[in-house]
This record gives sequence, structure tokens and C-alpha cells, in this order.
Amino acid sequence: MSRLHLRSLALAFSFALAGIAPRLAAGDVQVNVRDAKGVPVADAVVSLVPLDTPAAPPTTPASPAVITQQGQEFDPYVTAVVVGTRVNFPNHDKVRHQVYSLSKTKSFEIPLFGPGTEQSILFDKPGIVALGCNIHDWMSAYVVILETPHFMKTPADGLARLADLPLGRYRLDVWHPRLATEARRDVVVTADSATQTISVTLKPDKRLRRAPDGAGGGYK
Amino acid sequence: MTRRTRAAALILFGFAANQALAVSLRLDSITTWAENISRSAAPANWRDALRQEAHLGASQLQPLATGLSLIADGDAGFELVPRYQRNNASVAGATAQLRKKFGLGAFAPVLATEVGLQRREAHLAGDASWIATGALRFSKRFTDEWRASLTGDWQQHYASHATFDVRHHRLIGTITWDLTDRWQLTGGYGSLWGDFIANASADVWSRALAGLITPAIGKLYNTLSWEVTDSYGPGWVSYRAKGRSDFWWLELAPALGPNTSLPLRYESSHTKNFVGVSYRQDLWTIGVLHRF
Repeated sequence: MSRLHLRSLALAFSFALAGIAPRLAAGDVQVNVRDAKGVPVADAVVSLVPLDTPAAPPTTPASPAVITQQGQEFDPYVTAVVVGTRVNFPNHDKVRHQVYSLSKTKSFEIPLFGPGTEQSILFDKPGIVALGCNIHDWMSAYVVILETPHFMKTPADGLARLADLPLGRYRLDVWHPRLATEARRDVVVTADSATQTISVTLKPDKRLRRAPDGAGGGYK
Repeated sequence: MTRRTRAAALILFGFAANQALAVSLRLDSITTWAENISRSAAPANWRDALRQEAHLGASQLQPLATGLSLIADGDAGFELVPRYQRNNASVAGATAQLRKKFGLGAFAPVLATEVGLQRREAHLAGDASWIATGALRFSKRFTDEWRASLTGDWQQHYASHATFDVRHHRLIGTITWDLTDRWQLTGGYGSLWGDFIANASADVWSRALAGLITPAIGKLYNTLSWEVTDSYGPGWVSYRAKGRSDFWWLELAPALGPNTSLPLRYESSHTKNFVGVSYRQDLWTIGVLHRF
């Protein structure tokens, strides 16, 4: 067999290998979060923590996250950020607010600030932070601080799409403010896109009443 | 300026203040079916009627220190009794409340002290008065569903006629159960000690003064301040008596939206003066409360 013939064969073989060899770069995972009745769950934070190799420290975003006070509510209700993210609290209301948290992850109290002003807090430890307003007791929100860069908050359809994940094993965590039991499992990310469906049990929504209290009675 | 023009001006001013000054605005409309609205002891004098009230209020919170706030509140409104219009009145006033919250969040106990001054313009000329009020209130939420409060308050009328110079104090306890974020049930119990205004028809009153009901009643009633007011009919008398009233109520207040509730209340009171003359009053109330 001539050298030219051997080279042609080798070239043809390598092309053939390229055609059947798997792509090893990254995979996609879609997580479908449903409650016990099959209803999509919004505001669930889905995160993937690599188990094979430690994840590279996430990059702190250049711009801060924002949680507004408007209509005497926090918006958004759930915010997911990486460790080291700063969160701004602009007051878009006509009244003053006093944002605070008693959570061990980040305990703070922002003094009363008025309409059109803004305050800022750095969330530098992983965990869950529950926010409140000391003036308007019904206002509540959550900040989920994560050490992995692979996370997403579910929209109304309950679907979180995490793309371009390095292949390998991960711990999949789902968190929701009303989660009754832990929702966690190990998954393997492959080159084939996969959908993980997770059913979560939610506690009843027990937010504090916002509507005015009754006038009450009393003989006069 | 007519009453309607005044009311419209007040509402417009309120909206402007709401936009410009971070003032919280509220509107209450309350309709009550009152059994024995006349507050009469003799069954023959019991009168039942509808009473309608509406109030526009505005308040502003000013922080003084950590957990300490000053709340200034203004309120204006009217009370109408269509069947007995001599009992119609309009009110306007202001209060200042010092509120101390011991801690952060919904579960921190709150102690509030309040003073107020109100002007009452009544159809009954003698009932037009300045009213000074004071109150001390302690409240605490214990769980997401349960909270309680205890209030002591005091009221003094400086009326055009001495008959309506009422002074009394009350102690009221309430327990509130937030069944859900939409449904709320409140129970209250309290007592009033001091003066109150009661009414009697001409013939019942003349018999009381003559001692024909009991001599003790005749002896006391001849010392009371009273006048003919035609409050619930021609010749009817209003008089100021001292005694005690015990009252309780149950109120279901569904939320129609985040800023609106529809309280439905039943209240019963039993009032007795110093010679044992007593009367009962039952009130059935429906209201609409809206916060802007």
C-alpha cells in the first residue's frame, strides 16, 4: 500500500471518528418544578453544585441586583444572587420604608428611607435571607445567596433552563419560600439535553394580611 | 361653602397630600343597624334605626429614633341617622401618636400612646362640642395567625350644653385571628366607666322625675343634667347619667383586595347607671375600609 493511500485512509478514518465521537464541551439541563398537584411553581431557585470537581468561584456581577419597594411590596419576591453580590433597595413608593433582616446569614437594619431614595446591602455569605419592612409588616421577600454560578429562578411556567454546563455529576437543589421538605437529588449532565422534573410539596401561603383591619367596636 | 363642596375639597386636598407628602390616605364607609339606637331603658322607648358614617383620614409617620415613631393623623367625616335626623353630626379632628416598637418585625410588641382633639358639629345644638381624647395601647402578634391588644382610653366632651359634657374612660381587649391573608376574625371585650347620654320620651321622663318608677330613680334623676332635644320624637329628652357599660363584639373582615376590607360586625352592650337602670343595645354593622 502506497504512502498516499495510507494517508488517505488515515484522513478518512479521522473524519469518520469526528462524525461519531461525542461532543465533550457542555450540556444543558431543564428543571421542571411542579407542586403535588402538578401546577408549575414560580419563584423556585434551582441550583446545580458540581460534585466531580469544585466549581470555580463565581464571578461577582458588575451591576448590583435590585429589589424595589413599590405599592408597599418588595419586587421581586425572590432574588437569587452569587456570593459577593450587592443588592440595591430603591424606594419607588410614596411612603417611607425600613428594610431589615433577622436571618443568621445576613442580619441588618436599614434606617427609614424615603421615596425616591435608595439603600444598598452586600450579601457576602451563602444562605437564605428573609427580608421585611419594619413599618409595613406584610412586606416580605427573600434573597438566596449561592456559591455556584449555575442557578436560575423559575418563572411562571416552573421551567428553569441551565445551559452550557460542564459535563459530570451535580447536586440539584430546589428552594422555595414555602418548601415543606428538602428537594434535592444528584444528576448527571451529559451532552444530551435532559429534563429533570421535580415535584415539591409547598406549605400554604401564609403571608401576613395587608388589607386594613376592621374598625372594631366599643361603646362611646 | 356647602357641605358637599367642603367634602369634595377635603377629598381633593387629601389626594394632593397623598401624592406630595408621603401621606397615607384612608376612606371608611360604615352602615349600622342599631337596635335601641335611642339608648332607652323603657322597652316602649326602644327605637331601631340605620346609622351611616363616612370618614376620610390621612396620616403621616415620622421616625424619631430607632423603633420610635410619631404618627400624625387627621380625620373628618359625618354620621347620619336618616330616620332621626336630629342625631346627625359631622366630626373633624387630629391625633398624635407616639409609637414604640420593641424590636424588629411583625412579632415585636408595640406600645402606643395617643392624644387627640376633635370638633363635633351636631344637629342637636347642645351636642356641638370639642372632644379631647387620650389612649394607651399595647399590642403583640404571637404567631402568623394570632395577635392581641389591650387599650385604655379616655374621652372628655366640652359641649355647648352641660348635658353633653360627657367624660368617661374605657378598657378594651381584642384578639385577632388571621385565618388566612384574606379572612380575619376579631373578638373584643371592654368596659366603659363614667358618663353617657341616654334618652327617654316625655312621658317616661316625667314619670321618672316624679319618682313613679322608683323613688331612688326619682331622687337621682332630679339631680341629672337633662334637656328636651326631640332626639327620637317630639318631646324626647336627653340626659347625662353616670354608670358602666360592658360591651363585646365579633367582627369578620374579609379582604376584598390588598388595600380594601369589608368588616361585618355584631356588637352588644349592656349599660347600667348608678341606680340600676339599664338598657341593652345591639349593633349590626357592615363597612368598607380602603387605604390609598
